[in-house]
Amino acid sequence: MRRKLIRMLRGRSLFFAIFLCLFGSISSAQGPVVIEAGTVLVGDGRVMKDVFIVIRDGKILSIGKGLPQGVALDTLDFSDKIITPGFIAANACMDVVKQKSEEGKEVTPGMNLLYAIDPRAEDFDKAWRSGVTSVYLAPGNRNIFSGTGTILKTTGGTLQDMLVRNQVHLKMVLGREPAEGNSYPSGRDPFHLRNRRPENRMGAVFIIRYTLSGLQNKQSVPEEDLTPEERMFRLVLQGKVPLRINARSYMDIRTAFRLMEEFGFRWILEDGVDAYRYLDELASNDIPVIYGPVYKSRGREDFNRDDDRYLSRTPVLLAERGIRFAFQNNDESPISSFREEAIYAVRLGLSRENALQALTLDAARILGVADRMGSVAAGKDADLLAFDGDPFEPSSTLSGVFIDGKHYDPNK
Amino acid sequence: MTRWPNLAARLLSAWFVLAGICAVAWGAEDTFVIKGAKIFTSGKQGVLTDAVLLIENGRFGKVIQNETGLSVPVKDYSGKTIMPGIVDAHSFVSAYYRLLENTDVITSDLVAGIVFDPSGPEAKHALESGITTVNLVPRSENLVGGISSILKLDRESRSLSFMKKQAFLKISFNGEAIRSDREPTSLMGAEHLLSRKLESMGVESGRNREGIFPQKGLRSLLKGDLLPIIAASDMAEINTAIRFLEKWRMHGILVGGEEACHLSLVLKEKGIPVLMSPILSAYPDRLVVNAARLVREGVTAAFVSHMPEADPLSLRISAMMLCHHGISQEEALKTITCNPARILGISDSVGSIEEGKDADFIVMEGDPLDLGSPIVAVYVNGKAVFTKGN
Repeated sequence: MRRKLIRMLRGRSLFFAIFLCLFGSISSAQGPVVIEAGTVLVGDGRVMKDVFIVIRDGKILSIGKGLPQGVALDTLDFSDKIITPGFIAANACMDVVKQKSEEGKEVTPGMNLLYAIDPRAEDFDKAWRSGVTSVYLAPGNRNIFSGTGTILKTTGGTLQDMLVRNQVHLKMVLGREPAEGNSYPSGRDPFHLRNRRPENRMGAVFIIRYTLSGLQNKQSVPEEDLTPEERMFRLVLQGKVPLRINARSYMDIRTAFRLMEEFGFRWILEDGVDAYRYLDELASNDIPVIYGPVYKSRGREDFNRDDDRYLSRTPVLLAERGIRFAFQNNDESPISSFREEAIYAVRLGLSRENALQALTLDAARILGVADRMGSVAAGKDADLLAFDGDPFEPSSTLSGVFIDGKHYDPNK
Repeated sequence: MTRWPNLAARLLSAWFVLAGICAVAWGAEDTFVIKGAKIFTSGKQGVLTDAVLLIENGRFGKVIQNETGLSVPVKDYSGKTIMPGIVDAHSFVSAYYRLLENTDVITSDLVAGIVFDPSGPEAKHALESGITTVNLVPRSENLVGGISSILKLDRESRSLSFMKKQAFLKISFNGEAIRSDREPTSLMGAEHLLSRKLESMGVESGRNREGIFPQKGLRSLLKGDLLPIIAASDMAEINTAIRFLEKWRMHGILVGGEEACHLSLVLKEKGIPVLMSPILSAYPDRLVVNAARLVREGVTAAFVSHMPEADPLSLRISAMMLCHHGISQEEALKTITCNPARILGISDSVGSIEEGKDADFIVMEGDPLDLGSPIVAVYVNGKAVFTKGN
C-alpha cells in the first residue's frame, strides 16, 4: 500500500518536475521586466519621480514607488533618464505603400490600405528610431472619399504583429487634389480613367452631398440590403465612425462646417493649414485638429493667407483655445520629424506639457485608442521612450525605445 | 443450325486475339528496358544504381534486377544518369504574345491552351532542355488573365496533348497588373475590384450585364471547379493574396514569391504552395537565400521558368543554386520535378519515376544538377522526342 503510494508520488513528481521546467522556461521568456525610471512624463501633464514601471506581456502592469515582492525581476536601470510614452503619428506620410490612391472612382469608401502595406519597409525603421511607436496610415488624397485608415505599431515585421486597429476613420478630401487631372473627354480616349467628376472643388461638394443625401433617403432600408460602401456611410451618419476631413484652405474648412450642419456627422480636421481662421468654430464644436509640419513654410497658390506667422503659431493658438490637436508630417517631411515639430512649436511658445500631450495622449484620443496607448499608465501598452534629457531640448538624445514591452536600441 | 452462332463467336474472338497481337507488335516502340544508368527517381525509391527500368506502353513499369528472359528491346545507358521530365508550372512558352487580352482587366473566359503552338521553336527549345510538362498560363498584366492549361510538350503528336485543358484561373496582384491609366491603379484597388466582381457574380444570374465577357472562369472559381494561381512578388502583394484566399475560403497557389520567405510560417500553416521565379542575375530581388529559406522552412515550393522571359535552363540552374545554400541534392531536384507536379495536382501521372506514371524522363551525361552534363535524350510517354546528334 505504502509502496504503491510512493510509486504514485514518484510518477507525479516526475510529471511535476517536467511541468515546472516547461513553465519555468516560458515564464523566463516572457517574465516581467522592471524599468527603474528617474523621471516619468506620464503624457497627461503629470510628472512622476523615481518610480518603478513593471511590464508584463507587453503591457504596463503597474507604476509606483514600490516593487512587487517575492518575484525575481529583471531590472533595467533608467534612473538617470526621462521616460515618456511613445509618440503617435496621428497622420503619417510614409513610403510603405506603392500606390496610395485608387484613382478609378471618386467615391471609394471600401478601400483599405492595410494589406497593401509593406511591413518590412525602411520607413518603419526610421519611425521607431525617432520615437514614433504607432502610426496612422490612410489612403491618399486623390479621391473624395478615399477609404479607411489603419493604426500600426512600427516594429514587428508582419502585419499580424503590427496591427492595432483597422478601419478607424473614413477619409474625405476637400480641396483641389481629388479633382486634379479630371476633365471633360474632349479630344482624348472616351474611356480614359480621368473622364470623370469632379473637375473642381464645387463639383467635389456636389458629389459629397449627392452621396450622403442618397444615404439619408435610405434610412428605412435594413442593414443587410445595403452594399458595404453604403454600410460604411451609414456608420458615418450615425456618428459611429468619424469622418477625417482633409481640408487645407479656409474655404475647404468652411465647407466642412457647412456639411457638418447639413448631415450631422462627427469629424476631425486633418492637415488644417488654415485652422487658425476658425478657432472659435473649432472650439465650440469640439473638432480635433491634426496639424503639421510646423517648421515648413507651406507656400501654395490657393492659400489666400495674410500672415505667415499664424501658420507656425497654429499649435499655440489651438492650445490656448483648448482645442485638441496632434502633429502630422506630409510628403515633404520625413516620418522622423515628429519630435522636431514639437521642439519647434515649443520654441514658438507652446508649453512642454501641451507639446508632449499632442504627441502622445491627444493623438491617441483623436484615433480612439486612448484605452490602449498614449500615456504611461497601468493596463496600457508598454510603448515607452527613454531620453537622456528634456525631450524638447534638441541636444538630448533618444537612448531607448520600448514597443509592446520589447526593448530596442535606436542607436544600433 | 445451332453451330453457326458458335462458330461466328469463335471467329470473332480469334480476330480480336489477332488484332491484339498486332497492337502489341505495333506498340512495341514504347515498350523497352533501360539498363546501366543511375536513376534519380524523385520518388520514394530515391536514387537507384544498377537498376533495370521497364517501360511498358509509354508508362514506367517495375524496377527489375535482371533483364534476361524479357523479349523487349534493351537500351544500354551505362554511365549515364536519368531524371524525371521537368515540370514547368508557370510558362508562356510558344504563346507569349497571344496570352494577353488587353482590352479588359478581368478576362476570365480565355483559355491559354488554344493559343499554344506545338511546332514553334520555343517549344522545341524547352523540350530539348528537359521540360516535358508545362502549365501554360495567361500573362500577369491582367487582374484576371484567364484559365491555364496543362499540356505535354510532345512534338510527335499532330494535335495538342492536354493533361488538363482548364486547370487554374490566373489572377495577378503583381505590379504589372496595376497601371495608371485604367482601374485598378493600386494594389488595394485590385483586391477590391476582384472581390466586388465575385460578389456581384453571386447575385446576378445568367449573363453579366457589364461587358461582353460572361466570366465563366470566375463562376467556376466560386463553385470551386477552378483554383486560383495568384501572381504576387513582394510582401504587400503576398499579404493581399493570402487575405484574398482567406476572405473567399479558397485554396490557391502563389507564383513569383520573391519575398515569400518572410511569410513562410503563415504560408506553411495555411498550406499555400509557392511557385518561385527562376534565379537570374538580371533580377536582384530574386535571392537564392530567400528561396532556400522558403524550402528549408517547409513550404511546398517549386521553381518555374516564366519562359520565354527566362531560359529553360534556368530551372536546373536555380535548383543547382539551392544546393549551395544547404539544401540536399534530392530536395533541390524535387523543386523542378515532383513538387511542381504535386502543386498542379498531376503527381499521379508525372513528376517522378515510379510504377504506373508516364514515362517522361531525361537522359544526361552526368549529374542532373551539374550544368556540365549535357542532355543526351528526352523521352515523353516512352517515346524519344529528342536525341543528341539528331
